[in-house]
Formats: sequence, C-alpha cells, structure tokens
Amino acid sequence: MQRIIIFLISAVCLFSSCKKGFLDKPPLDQLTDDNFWSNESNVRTFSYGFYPTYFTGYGAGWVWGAYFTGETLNDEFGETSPSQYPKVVPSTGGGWSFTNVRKANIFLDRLQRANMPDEAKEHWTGIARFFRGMAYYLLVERFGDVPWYDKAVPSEQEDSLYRPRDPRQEVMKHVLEDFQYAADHVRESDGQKGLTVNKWVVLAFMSKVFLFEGTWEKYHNVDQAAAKTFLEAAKWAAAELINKGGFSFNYTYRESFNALDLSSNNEMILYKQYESGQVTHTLVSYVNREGQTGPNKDVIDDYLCADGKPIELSDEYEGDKGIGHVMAHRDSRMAGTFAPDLRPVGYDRPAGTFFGASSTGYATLKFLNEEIMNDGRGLSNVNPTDAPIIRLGEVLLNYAEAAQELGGVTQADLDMSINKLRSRPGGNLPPLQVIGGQPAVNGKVYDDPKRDPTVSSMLWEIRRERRVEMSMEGVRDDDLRRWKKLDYMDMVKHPDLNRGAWIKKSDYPHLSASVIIEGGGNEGYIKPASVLRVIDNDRIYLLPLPLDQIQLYKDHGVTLAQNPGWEE
Amino acid sequence: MKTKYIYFSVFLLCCCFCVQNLFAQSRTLTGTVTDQSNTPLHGVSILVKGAAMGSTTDERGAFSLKVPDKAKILIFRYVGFVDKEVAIADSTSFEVVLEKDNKALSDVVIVGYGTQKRSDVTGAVTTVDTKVLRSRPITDLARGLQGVVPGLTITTPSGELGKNPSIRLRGITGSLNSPEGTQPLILVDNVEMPNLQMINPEDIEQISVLKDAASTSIYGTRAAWGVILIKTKSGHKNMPARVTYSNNFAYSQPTTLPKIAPAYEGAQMVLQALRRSANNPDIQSFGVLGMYFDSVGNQKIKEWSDKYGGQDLGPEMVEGRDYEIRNGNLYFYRSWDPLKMYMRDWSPQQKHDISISGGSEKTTYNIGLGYLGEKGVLKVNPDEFDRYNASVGVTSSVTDWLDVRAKMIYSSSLTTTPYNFGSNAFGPWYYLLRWPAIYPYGTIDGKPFRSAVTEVSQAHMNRDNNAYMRASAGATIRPLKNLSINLDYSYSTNNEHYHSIGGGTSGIDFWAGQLNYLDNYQSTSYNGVTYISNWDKMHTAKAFATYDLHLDDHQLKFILGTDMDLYNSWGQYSERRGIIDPDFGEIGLTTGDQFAYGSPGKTAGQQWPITQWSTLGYFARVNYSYKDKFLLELNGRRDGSSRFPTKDAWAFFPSMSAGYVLTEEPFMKPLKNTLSFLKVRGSWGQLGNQGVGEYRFLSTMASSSSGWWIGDNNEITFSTPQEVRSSLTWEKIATLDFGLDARFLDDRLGATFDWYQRTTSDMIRPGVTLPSSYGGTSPVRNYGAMRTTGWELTVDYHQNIGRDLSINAAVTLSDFTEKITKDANVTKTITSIYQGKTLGEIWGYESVGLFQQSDFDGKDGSGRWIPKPGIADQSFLEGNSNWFNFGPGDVHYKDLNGDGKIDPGNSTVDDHGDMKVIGNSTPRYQYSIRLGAAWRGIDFDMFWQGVGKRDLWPAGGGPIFIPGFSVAEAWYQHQLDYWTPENTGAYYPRPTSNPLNTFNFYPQSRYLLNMAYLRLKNVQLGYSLPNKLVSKLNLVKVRVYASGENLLTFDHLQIPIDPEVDYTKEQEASAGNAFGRVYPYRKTFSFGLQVTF
Repeated sequence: MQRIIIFLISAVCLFSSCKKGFLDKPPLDQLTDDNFWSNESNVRTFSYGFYPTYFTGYGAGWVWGAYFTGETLNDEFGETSPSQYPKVVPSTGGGWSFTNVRKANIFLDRLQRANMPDEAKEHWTGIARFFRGMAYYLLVERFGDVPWYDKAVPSEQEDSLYRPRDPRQEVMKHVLEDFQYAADHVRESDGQKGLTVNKWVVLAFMSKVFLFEGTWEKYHNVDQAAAKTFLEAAKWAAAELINKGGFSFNYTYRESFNALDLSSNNEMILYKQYESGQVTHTLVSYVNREGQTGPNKDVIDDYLCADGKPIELSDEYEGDKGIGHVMAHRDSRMAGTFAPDLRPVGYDRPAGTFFGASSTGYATLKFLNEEIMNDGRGLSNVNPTDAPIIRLGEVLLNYAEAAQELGGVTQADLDMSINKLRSRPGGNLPPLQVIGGQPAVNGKVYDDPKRDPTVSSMLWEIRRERRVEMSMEGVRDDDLRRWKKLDYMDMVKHPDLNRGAWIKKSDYPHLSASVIIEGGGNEGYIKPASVLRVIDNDRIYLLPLPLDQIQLYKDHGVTLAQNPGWEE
Repeated sequence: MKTKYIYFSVFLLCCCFCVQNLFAQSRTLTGTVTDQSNTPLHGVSILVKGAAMGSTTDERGAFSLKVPDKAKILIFRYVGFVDKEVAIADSTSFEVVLEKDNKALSDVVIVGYGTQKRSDVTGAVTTVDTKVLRSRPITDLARGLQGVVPGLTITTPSGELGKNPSIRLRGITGSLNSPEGTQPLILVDNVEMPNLQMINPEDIEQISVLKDAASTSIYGTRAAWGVILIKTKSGHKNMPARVTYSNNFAYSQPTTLPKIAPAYEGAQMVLQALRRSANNPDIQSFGVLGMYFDSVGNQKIKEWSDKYGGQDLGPEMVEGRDYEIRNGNLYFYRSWDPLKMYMRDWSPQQKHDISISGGSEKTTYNIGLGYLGEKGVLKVNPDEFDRYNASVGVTSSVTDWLDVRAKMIYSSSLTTTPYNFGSNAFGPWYYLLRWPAIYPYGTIDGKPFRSAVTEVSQAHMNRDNNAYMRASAGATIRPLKNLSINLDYSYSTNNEHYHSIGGGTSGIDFWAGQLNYLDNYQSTSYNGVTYISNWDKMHTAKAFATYDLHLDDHQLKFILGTDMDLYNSWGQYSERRGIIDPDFGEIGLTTGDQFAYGSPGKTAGQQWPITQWSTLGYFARVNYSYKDKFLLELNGRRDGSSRFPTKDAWAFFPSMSAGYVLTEEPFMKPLKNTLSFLKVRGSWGQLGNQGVGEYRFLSTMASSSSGWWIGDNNEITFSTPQEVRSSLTWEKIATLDFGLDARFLDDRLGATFDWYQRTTSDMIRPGVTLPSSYGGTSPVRNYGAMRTTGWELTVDYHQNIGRDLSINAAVTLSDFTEKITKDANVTKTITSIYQGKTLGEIWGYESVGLFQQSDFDGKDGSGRWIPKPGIADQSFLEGNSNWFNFGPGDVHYKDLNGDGKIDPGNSTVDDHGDMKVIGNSTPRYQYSIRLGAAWRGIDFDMFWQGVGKRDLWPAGGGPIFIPGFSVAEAWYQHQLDYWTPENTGAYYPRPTSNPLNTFNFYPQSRYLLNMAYLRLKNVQLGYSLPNKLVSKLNLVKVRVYASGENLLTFDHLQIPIDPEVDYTKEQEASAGNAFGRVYPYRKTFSFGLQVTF
C-alpha cells in the first residue's frame, strides 16, 4: 500500500508541476500590434506593404499592370470588340474599399511609438501621409466625393463610421496637406535610389495627383478656386522636382520601357525591378508573339511630323497608304512605340520573325526587348524587363499642362518641360514655341485643323505631347475623364477609332477572312469592330457605389448618396 | 511454441489416463468445433451433461474426450456463441458448428474511458463491426468507414493517391469558425491520432463512434464534433502465439473520364462561339496556343479523321499529313487521345499484413506489420504511394495490484509524384483535358512537343515522406477492490519531409506558333531543389480513477480524472536554384538564388503553421443502473485552453443521459418472443469548441513577401493589425439526442433510431456588419449560432437457415440539415452567411428552357432580338457585354416575381429579384445496404452506399461544366448536343463564349448538377478451406477471396464526372475552373489470401 501511495503522490506532483503557465501559449512566429512597432527598421518593413498596391508597374506573373492591355478603355486601341464602360450598379464591392485608408491611418498612428529620432519620425510621418494621400486620390479619382477619415475609427464608433460623403474638393484639400507635409519632411534619399519612396517620388506623384484634381474640378466646374489651388500645387511640385531633383534623360525614349535594368536610367524617379525566376511579368510577350490589339488610326495620326507640324500641315507627311509612308518623317517616338511593319491577321511573317498579328495591322512594340524576345524570357509570363512607375517625362508634361491651365505657358515653361522631352537622346522634333499664346515651331505659329474647337490651340499641342509621350501607358482614360472629354471615346463621332492600317487585300494572300476592310472593298482601312461604342451618358465619369453600402447606411439612418445617373 | 504443444499433449494424455481410471466402461469421442464460416474455435468448453467432466478444444478446434457409456449429451459452450447440445448416440466423431450469439446486446462496447454493456449504453454510440474493413482493397480506414456509420459523412474530392478523406460527423460545417474543420476526434487507445491514414485497419480490434455530447463530453475540449474511438488489437493471456498473414492484390480503372470532342466538331463549336462573341459571322479561323484553325485546316482535320481515324500511325508526325505550316502558321490535323495514350488500363495496388499475438500467465503481446503499395494511373513516371505500418504492444501484471503497459505505433508513408511545372491545382489532368483533340502528342524527328505528358515524362519525382510515431506507457493500479487508477502518457510526433528536384523540359515549344525546339522551355524558377519539412510534437497525459459500487439492485460507477495536451508544430521551406546535375538534386549541389521561408511565409507546400497550444481539463462521471432497467449517466468537465485569453480560458461543461429498458418490466414479458429488447434513451450535453483558430484575441501581424524587390530581396512586410476584442471564449456545442434501441424475433431483427439537434452557440463571428468605410474586418465576438438537426436509423437482420446457411442484412439511413440561427449580418447578401440560412443552399434562377425562334418577333434595327409580348426582358443578364443579346438557342429564365424583367434585385435575401434557392450541396439521405450470406466455407458480402439528394453548382465553373468557358480551348464530347435551328431540343445552348456566371450559365435549375448516387462500394466472395485440409497443412485457417470496390454506380449526371468528385483543397483555393479535371476516381478489382497459423 505504501508503494501505491508513493506512486500516486509522484504522479500528482508530475501533473501539477506543469500547471503553472501551461495554458499561456503566445504566438511563436507572428508579431502583434503591441510588440511590432519598436524601431525604424520595423516601420520601414511595414511601409513595403503599400508598394505593390500603388506601384503595380507591368504587373506580376499573368496579372497585368495598367500598361498596355491593363487598361483597355482608351482611344488608342482598335479593338475587335470595343470595351464598354460599366452599365450595371454592383451589389457589393465595386472598388469602394477603404482598406488602404485604414492601413495608412494605422501606420501614421503606430509609427509614433517607434524608438527613433525626430528626423526619422517626421520622415516616416511624411511617408504615411503620402500613402494616405495616394489612397484617397485613388478613391476620389474613381468615385468623386468620399468620406474623409484622418484616423482609424474603432468599430464601435458608429457615428463616425457612417459618415456621409465629403465633397471631393474638401477631401483633396486634406490630401494636399498630406502631400505638402510629405514633400517638406520626407528624405531626399532613403535606401536604393529609384526603388524607395523619397522626396522626389512624393513630388512627382504630387504633380500627377493635383494636375488630375485641378483639371477635373476646372472642367467639371466643381470649385474653380480649389482647382486653382490644386493646379498651383501640381506646378510647384513639378518645378521643385525639375529644378532640384537632378533627373535627366540619358537614354532614348524606348529604352525607358524595355530595359532589363533601369537603375542607370536617370529619367526614373521610381521604377519596379523585375528579375528572372523571381518576379516577372508578361508585357513583353503581349507585344511579341501573342496576337495583339493594335493601335487605331486616331492615335497614329496624332504623331507630329519631324518638322514639328501636325500631318495636315506638314509638307513631309506622305499619307497613310503603306506603313513606310506612315512612318516616314515622323516624331521619332512613333518608331519607338509602333512596329515598322503591318501585321494584319493572316499576314505572311518574314522569315525568322515570329510576331503575332494585330487587330488593326499596326502593332505596338514600345515594351519589346529584342535581346530577349526569342529566348524563353520574352515569352509566357517570365519577362524580366523593369517597369517605370513614375518618370521625369510625365512630370515635365504635368508641369507644362499645369502652367498652361494656370494662365498660359511661357517659353521658359516650355523649355524646362516639353522641349526637354524633344531634345532627349534620339529626339528629332524642333522645340515647341509659344508666340502670342499660340503654338509655333521654327518661329511659325500653327493651328491643327483637326483641333477640338473647345480646346485652345496651345493646350491642344500640350495634350498631344502627353498623348504621344505616354502612349499605351494606361493613363489615357484618366486624362479624358479629367478633361471631361469622354466623347473622344465615341466611335461613331470619331470614326478613326475604328480604323486600322490602310491595306490592299491583294498584298496579303493569306489574309484571314475575319479581317474586314471598311466599305467592303479590296483596299482600304481595316475595320476591327462591327459593333461600335457609343458614349451617351455622363454618368460614366464616376463609378457607381455598391448597393449594399447604400442600404447599410440607410439602415443606420444616414444617406450615402449614389453618384449622378446611377440612382435607380 | 513446440514446448507448449508438448505440455498440452501431456496434459491431454494425463486427462485420458485419469478418465480411464475413473470410468472403466467408457469410449473416446473426438471431433472439431468451428463457427459458421468454418473457422476453428479454440478453447471451446465441452461438458458432459449430468457429469462433472469435460474438455476444451485445441488451436485447430479439435477435441478428444472419454465419456462413460451412459453419457447421452455433450454441451459445447463458447463465449459469444450460443450453447449447443449434441446427442452422442452412437457417434464417436463430431463436427460441431457453433452459432454466433447475436445477442449483440450482451456485447461489451468501448465508450469514453471504459467499456459498457451495450444494453446499458445511454448515449448515441455506434459500434463498427470490423468485418466491414476485411478483405477490401482500401487504402485507409476512412474509406472503409464510408457509409458504415449513420451520421458519419466521409468524402474524397478526387482519386489522388495518399490523400486524406474528409470526415464529418452529424453535419458538414459544425461551426463556421473552425479553420481546421470539424473533424471528429480520432482516438486510438484513448490518445488522439491526427488522421485515419496512420492506423492500419488490420490492427483494429474495435471501433466505436460516439456521437452525442453526453458520450463524448468526457473527452472534453477537442471532442465537440464527436469521437471515433479505436481500440487496437492486443494479445490474450494464456494464448499460444498466433500468426496471421493476409494480402490483397488490386487493379483499378477510372470510373468516368471526360472525353474531348472530336477535332472537327470541336473546332466548329469554337468557331460558332467566336463568331458570336466577335459579332462577326465571317470568322473562319482562330488560334489557340500556336495551333491555328481555318476552313482549309478544318477540312483537312476532317479528312484525316476519315482516313486515319482509329489507325496506329506511330508517334512520329508527318508533315503534310499530320501537320502543316501554312502562311507562317502551324496547323495540326491529326487527332490524339491523350488519356488513352498515357493512362494505364489497370493500375496495380498491393497490401500485405502480418500480425503476431499471444500471451502468458502475466504478459500479453501483439505485433502488427503492414505494407501498402499503390501505383498511379499514368503510364510514364506514375505517382506512387507506399505505406508501412508497425505496432507493438505489451501488457504485463507486475503485481496483483499493478499492471503496466507500453505501446508503439509507427506509420510511414511515401508519396512520389512527378515534379509539377505549375501549381498543384493544375496538375497533368488539367492539361491533358485542356486542349483540343489535335494537340500534338506525337514527335517530330523523335523530339516531343511541349505537353503535360512531355513534362511528366521528363520530370524528377517529388518525394513526400510522412512518418508518424507514437510511444505510450501506462499503468493501472488497483489499491482496493473495485477501485482502479489509470495513468497514461503518450508522446507522438509527426514528420513530413518533402523533397523536390525541379529542372526543365526539352521539347518543341510550339505555343508561340513555331516549331521551336528548346532544350528547356520552362522558367528558370523551376530549376531548383526544394525541401519542405514540417514536424509536430504532442504530449498527452491522462489520469483517472474508476470505482465500482454494487448495492443489491443498484450499480454505480464513478470516474474522476484529468487530462492535458500540449502541442507544438513547426515548418520550414528551403529552396536553391541552379541545379548542377539533376541526378544529384541536393541543395549542396546548386549554384543559384536561395530562398528560405518559415510558415506562414510561404504556402507552396503543405506547410504547417509554427504554433503551439495546450489544453487542460478535469472530469467526473457517475453511472447509475437500477436492475438494468433504469440507467443514468452524469458528466461534468472543467476545461481550459490556451486559445483564449487567460481570464476567459476556463469553462464548465455538463452533460447527462438516461435510459429506460422497457423489456425489463414484468408487463412486457409476454411480448418477449416478438419484442425481445426495447430501450428508450435521451441525452443532453454541452461541450466547448476550442478549434476556432489561433490567437483570435491578439492583434497579430502576419509577415509576408511584399512582391517589391530591391536588389536580391523580396522585401518582407506585415499585415495591417486588425481590431480584436479582448474577451473571447469557447464556442458552446450542445447536443440533444433521443434514441430507441429495439430487437425483435429472438433478437434476429434489430433497429436503432436517433434524433438529434446540435446547437453551436457563442459562435465566433464578425460582430456586426460594418460599412466598407471602416476599412478593416469586423472584429469577431462570441455571437453567432447555428443548428444541425438530423436523424439516423439502422436496421439489421440475420437468420440461420438450416445447418449451413446463414444470411444477414443491414440498412442505414441518415439525414441532417444545418441552419444559421443567429448572425449579426444585416446586409444579408444571398451568398453570405445570414440568420435563417440553410447551409449549402444554392441560389439561382429557374430555367424555362431554351429560347426558340418562335419566342421572338425577329430582330430590331440594331440587330437585337425582340422578345414576343409576355416574355420577360432578360437584358440585365447581358451585363456589360457589347455582343451578347438573348436570342434563339439561349437560356430562357423564369420571371419568378412577375415584374417583366429578369434580374437578381439587390442579391439580398430581402430583395432577390428572380432568384431563389434552387438546390443544396449538403448530402441528404445518406444510406447504405449490406447483404451477406455464408454457406459452408463460402461467404458472400455486398455493400451499397449512396446519397439520396445533393446538388452542386461548381463555384468556379470550368469548361467541363460550362461549354465555352474557355472558348478557344477544348470542348467536350458531351457538349456536342447544342442548340441549332435544326436541333431545337438540345441540352446545351447555342455555342457561346460563357465566362463564369454570365449569359446562359447563371446558376440555374437547368444545369444544376444532381450529385445523388448509389454505388456498389464493395462486393466480395470468400472461401475458407475445409478444416480437415487446413489441419493437415498444420494451419489454423485459410481463406481466399475476391473483392471489388466501386464496381457499379448509378447516378443522374449529365456531365462525365464521378458523383463523388468535388473541388480539391487546392482547386478550392485558386482553381475553380479545374472542376472535373482531377485525378480520376477508380473502380477496383482485387483478390487475396488470409492465413492463420
């Protein structure tokens, strides 16, 4: 019996000895909100979470970025089945998400806990405010008015959560404060140049964001005073960057889009690095052997002739019957963007070439890297070329446009912006001049006969420069929307949108029967689409809000207004 | 062993001498005793009626006995069998067959921490006759249990080797909040085992499935979803060593496979669909993956089929005949049948098991060894699954008050699969079924084309090694009579090592439209060696005391105890690129970039989280029985779990059950012959569920790769911390169960019925629906509730006909539904979880049929069809499309709300437009039928299993289900019945490009899959060699058998998938469109042998 008792006592001791803290098992491989925010290094680590959201570049794997086919709603493509603006109000989702606003607000709040010097704290506060500004810019850009939150609201605070939409000019004033703070406090250099957010990245985006908002509010007549403030901010930010950032052009136009490594390209303010086997994209493949949606006649015709004049005015223009004529004596960026041959569906490939066919005959090659196009890296989803995120070229255009919108460009404005684009390595256009507010080259004022009469001739040329410089970069829809020019997308009013290259069927013995010639003859323009896109409603300028959110607000006694034209 | 025989013989001889001395006038009787299936029975007592003398049978069932002349009757008595009296008359030799005592009620069943007479059980407990596992070519216990236990739902989404089936008891979901799933707790000898793959079915002695809370609550925290209680075999005291060997050789074949449409007809469907989506009736050509189709080519495809179809032309492709380069484009004309070319006709599988057991006066032992080898379906580089099992158990009485025991269980499996150049969701099955019939599987100049088969044949094999080991030791102390104290400790560990050697594939890469031979066309990211290791450790300790008290008619049993679990798991991933020599695929022999991840940083493999948790509980139970008539059981448990904040970690969970055996009442006695047993019982109990995910009360920040590269670093980032509530506690699972056990006709017919309601309350759910402007996920709280209501019925019957023939039958039927009874979601989107939702419900439209030309008044000016008056406007369903306009041959949806247009309203429960619940994916009315017969040495058994009702609308669609889902890729044979003006009664609509949930394929009644089926799960025929022959061979028993699995299936499916197929885990996560293109389900033929000696 004694032995039994000893046995039992020892067993009981064994059990009870483990008891203390036995049920306390904290996570082993996850930090928590309470212990994460200790130092600058962790704060920096958190900041990378914003990069893939805002800086998509050429995308990753099979997923597109905004470039080329990532944005099909534009007046550049000649699609066989033209993309349409949304027609239906979504029941849920629809892009109405404040995840990034919350993320930025939490970042802003928590980084104050980190143990770091004031300078660092101000830098990271600036970074957090920049990311919050970006989150709001992307919301306002799609939806217009949105509720403004400057901190992460706890889930119990219903009155704050169910905040009605604030007018966009109010929201963007807060965003301007964020950007201004960031511009003043973010370090000029922090980590690897071109791959981390620094003062210049902030300024570059500031010029983009406020040019957008300023022109939107001006042309949609939201608030003219606010529009002026925003345009001035855009112009100031661009000028700061141009004058102090030290960026310049040391490569030709196309080398900014097809390089395996952009680190030595002094035009890059921010770029996305791709590496074989690690992070790759599929954009080179789309302009290589895949069949592609080609550019239409409308964009092809917008390129100036090498004498700096529009095709209608230039003596050098050879007409559009044959690609050799089309490309002759044109802005060198044309050859940097489009292929020197026509590739209608069923064309005979010259020996040794493998390019895919194009819906319009014209083909884009801007993103093609000839060095890798025939090895594995130029195919499938393993393309390793680096992607520009924001570059000097765009900032120069932002500057010129903001200056023009604020009362007209001066020659000095043009010389520090557009003329730098024209004089980059490989550039062939004469400088743009302003004479009496009118555009001119070589001392002669000109006025494009195809100009939209509601746009002044100087602004027309600045917008043309932007369209050409940023062709196929996925910005065109935003530009048309902020200028309130979505009717440019109407294919009935603008027949050139549904015209491709001019061809003779007899030149292409194997031409596919699906290639239709306008008018049905044996020669003429390729007509890619048989059903046209018509723009008949202004509601498409803003996206509709999802129905569930409107209902949820309503259940809480608050009105979440639907965007105009989308109300049921 | 031999010495024992000698002893035994000497003993028998002595007996004979004694007998001879006592009875001068006597004779010797000899004979054998067997059971109905001809198995010799060892240790049968043979008594002479009216005399104090007797004998027992030996291992071969033989006996010899001297009896006085006046002896008239022999009595044969054996535990579990009916006593048999045999008249001696003039015979001296006897062959006695004993009948099993089917008074199953006197069986002892295993229950939580002990055993109970079946008639005393008050909870819902189903025991499994391990016979159902015998002689079946199954790879694991779970597949063997499918359909056997009413209420247990066992499903396998594909036929892939080595995959663990999903096991659910009384419901599918259980809690909306269990990331690990609500699998019942699997206890092998009272200690948890992670899954049923790790236990060899041959090692099992007894299985009980505890279903209601009152039965499981003694196991506490982790037993909320029921318990599968398994007792392994052990030796018996004073038993000579007995060796049993059994094997099984099986050959299997896919049950159903999709078939790609003939090349020409397939191309025609594509063209029709493309013409429609491009609004261009002139389209004559298209390309997919570098393969071009045009009118000339399609004609040649047709000519090829007419001329060469069915001939064996060898693999080499002839230019001009099989393919052509025209106008710089590649045209293929030759059709291939990749499934036929690359699949074995029969995939082999084999199983071998040996067990040795025995015991002496004090010590018993049991050793089990098993091997299972299964080969996959592909001809080249087939996948393989091998499993080795070993178990050793010893029990010994050290003193009269102390028994000690120790047991080791080891299970090791190796799955080898060809390296997959792609994701796990898109294996070779996906690709073999992805492309049109002319996809070139041949060669040019002996060089293969880029294809899934080329990749498989050149791939190295991935090796996934899993080893489970458990060591346990325990003791039973009996300090007093009726008091026993058990102490048990187990340590188990599970190790997974996954090793893959990537590389490249050489072949003619024609995907970009040229015949381009490349030494390697794969991304360099595949050229690496990867190791993934996962391992866990679990410590389990239990201590409990049992005290029995008998006071006249009152029987009481008390249990008091404690148990604790401590679990840790880890995982890591390492990879290095740049293999020097693929035959030496080790990390040390690589030159490139290297990657290392800890889980959850990388989910490429099946990584386990790096985690730890612990539970601790105290429990008590009282059983009370009055005259075996009134039965009562009370349980209480106090549980603590590390999954909750310290202040909320502990909770108390009570349960109780009671039974009343009516047939023990005197007034029922007259009915005894018809109604031999009747018990009513009821139980209620509550358990806690701690399987709610980890660290829910902490605002954790998970690390992940951002995808933003700086130099060689994929910068790490952390997720946004989410708001959490500091008070979170157990989900509570309460089960109410009413049951009835009855036996009729001298116990030959029996029935068991249970009705239950299981309520999960305090379910951890998003608290309130928050507006999107909140920007985060709504913090969870103990708020929601759901309820499972169901019933289970078992009927069994057995009958002996004459001396040699016995028949038996058993039928089970069960059903349940799961409903959300409380939830904070106020938006109530139809696809979301909302209060009142029946889980599994499928919302969709009701389809009237296909539109015919007569439904329209022609077309308007812009080419749109004008529906006749009375036909609802379907234009909303055309979405943002610029080309799709409902017309003849398209689906006609029903205007349920009569508003003249078809739309989903707000897609909410309150406003769902013309949608309604069209079906439910929960399996309803699961049933099984077992029929068996034994005649002399021959036994026959068949087992049918089925699901009465189940619907499925594959969430990701996919081209097998939806014609035109990936328009230019393969269309299938079964889709040829499509609408044309000539074929107006077609099943499928007019060929159209049909992305997910659009146009003709919104979820709807017409194409909803009816997944109900009835399947001959197993049928077997065995023959046991006659005793005399067996004895001559010095053996105890020999049985040969043939057994088949899934041989017959009845279903209602219109598409070629197996009715048991569902989304695999990988598909569910990322590849909905791969539905139906999974590793095939198989039917199996097998034969084998069982020998005992």
